[in-house]
Amino acid sequence: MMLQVHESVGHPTELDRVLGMEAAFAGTSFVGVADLGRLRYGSELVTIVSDACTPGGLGSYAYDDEGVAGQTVDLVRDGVLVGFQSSRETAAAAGADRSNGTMRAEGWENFPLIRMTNVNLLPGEGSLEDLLADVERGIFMATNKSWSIDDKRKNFQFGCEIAWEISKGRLGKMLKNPRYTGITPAFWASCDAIAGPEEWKVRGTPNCGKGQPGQTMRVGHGTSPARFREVSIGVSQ
Amino acid sequence: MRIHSSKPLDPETARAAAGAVLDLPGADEVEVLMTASRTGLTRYAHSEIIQNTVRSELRAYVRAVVGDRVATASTNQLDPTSMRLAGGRALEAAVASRPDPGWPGLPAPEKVGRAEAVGRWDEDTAAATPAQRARAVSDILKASSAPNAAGIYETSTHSYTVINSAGIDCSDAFTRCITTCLVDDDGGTGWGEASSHSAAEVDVERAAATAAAKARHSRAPRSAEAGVYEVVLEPSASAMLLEFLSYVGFGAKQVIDGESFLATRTGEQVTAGNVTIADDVFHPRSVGIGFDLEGVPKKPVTVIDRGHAIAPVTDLRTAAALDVPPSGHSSGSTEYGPIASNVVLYGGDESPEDLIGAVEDGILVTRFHYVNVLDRPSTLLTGMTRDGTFRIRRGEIAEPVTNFRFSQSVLAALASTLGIGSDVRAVAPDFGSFGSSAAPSLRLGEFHFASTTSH
Repeated sequence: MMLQVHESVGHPTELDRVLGMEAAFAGTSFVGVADLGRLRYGSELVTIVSDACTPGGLGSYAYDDEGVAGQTVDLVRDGVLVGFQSSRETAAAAGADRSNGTMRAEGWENFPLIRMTNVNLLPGEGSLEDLLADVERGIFMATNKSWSIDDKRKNFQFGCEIAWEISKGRLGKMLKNPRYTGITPAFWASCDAIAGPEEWKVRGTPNCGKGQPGQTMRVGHGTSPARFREVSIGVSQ
Repeated sequence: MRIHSSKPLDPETARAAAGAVLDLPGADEVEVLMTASRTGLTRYAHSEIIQNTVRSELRAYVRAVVGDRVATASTNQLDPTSMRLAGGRALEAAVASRPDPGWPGLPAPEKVGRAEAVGRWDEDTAAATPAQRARAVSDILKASSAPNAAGIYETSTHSYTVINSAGIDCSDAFTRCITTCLVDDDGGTGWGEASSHSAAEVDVERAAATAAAKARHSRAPRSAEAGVYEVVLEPSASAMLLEFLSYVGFGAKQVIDGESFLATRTGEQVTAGNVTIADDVFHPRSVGIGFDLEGVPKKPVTVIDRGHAIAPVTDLRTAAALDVPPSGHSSGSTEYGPIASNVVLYGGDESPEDLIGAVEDGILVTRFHYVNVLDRPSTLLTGMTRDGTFRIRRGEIAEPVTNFRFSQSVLAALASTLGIGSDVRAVAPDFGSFGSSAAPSLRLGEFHFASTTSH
């Protein structure tokens, strides 16, 4: 789940992308400033935060590189877009009172850019087994190994290391080279279960790339397994 | 350390720095790789400059060898004390390392030859100032006539030197100029780009005008069905496929590991007979240096010759494993292995207009976005189109269409090649500064678009 959150929620809610500053390289975003508080990003189960204070998170810090304190900010609350990751300049441009402190540079020789902190999908309830139990026929995907998403962060395709068939609530045979694809808001709208705190873990991505000249950044994602209905799988040639 | 010439590191300074550590007591062999660059990058968005960067970097990597134990330490100070400190750290790490049974030894000139500098250096590009870069952006914005243009104008210099205790002593340097232009015209986007070792050869106004025209024509795109289409890929799109084909299959380590198509298909016809692909830093459109990161002379390697899979590029280690001479393509990483970093797909004799004119019903792709690998041995990739995707009808560019996601084996696509443009263009890498691609427009008979998006 962490890469799913990273690519389809983390990047599209970076306010510099939303405002077009990254247009020529990594692209923009399907969300606009006017969508704040209005856009249904996912189902009511989906709440996602940008949290620079997550204990143990690879994207945790006390202050960003503009000297703004690290914060916990809702990006998607109960399925609705309610926030962006911002800097002092972009917050003002978008009419916000203040930056939420996400400007970071790879090193002293780089410009700070808006970078993800720990963008976390908050846990729901129940175990992984509970999630599986309600699946008559499905696929359990694990560990992204290939990722691709369009320049507005809408059409995505992920390949995974491994998957298992789910049949009548139980894991079945192992599957090789599983892939799934979707459109960001429709995919998150199809989320009908998120496992609880007992399954929730913060994992790190040490090599998130952005900007010109390119910079890599360490970011974190807290997630637990989640269930999505009617997902297109097995895309191949 | 004062830099004595317009090159970010001149060979004499490099030689003096290496001299402090080549006779490191306790080491059997020592190698010093020095890289230096100066990159000025002016970035613009919403038709105004948003960022100006000038960055100078210098790094010396000292590799110490004790028997078959090897380790590297680096420093960004070239004075003798700093170099000896780095050498001492490398030696300490080497002694503490596990033996490397595949260690091929450092190259010696009597075995691998002496490298020839490619010399892709242009003094005017090296001397470009922030004011000149700003003027170039101004020219781009005037030529695009757009309120919403975004991109970069970059000039850079890069120096490489490898000196080792076995007698290797080689230096080369290159300059590069890159411009990109994305125009957003009421939701329609268009792309133009150019790059060369010489800023004088980078036509910023043409790139901007191309982007503006494509953006204008891209407004209000129509939906098109996913499926298999005949396509014409412009050079930016062709180069992206070429870069990934090289990444997944042109290195000898991928062959040894069984991940490359060359592991099972060498000698077979893998593309159409009119396709020849090589790694050739001496090609006039290539930008790079004449040796690899171990100082081995870089030889042109034809990987696919008139459709037939021939051979991978090698470094010392993989060449020894395959019992072939090294081709000079060390990436500096044992984990990744050799890399083909100056890939060329040789041009044909058709103009881009000829290629489009021959298509009854197909798709014109300006560029791809966020390409990634789905399966290495079959060269299966996925990615999106962007910034100028058009239907071709009866030999003419027709309506704009919403972007596609492709899921396609590069070799399978090239097996359906129907035409190759004469418009071979240099394309700089998206990430980093090492290497280049040179690719023409391609007309491919079958290209699989798996899904679409809303813009």
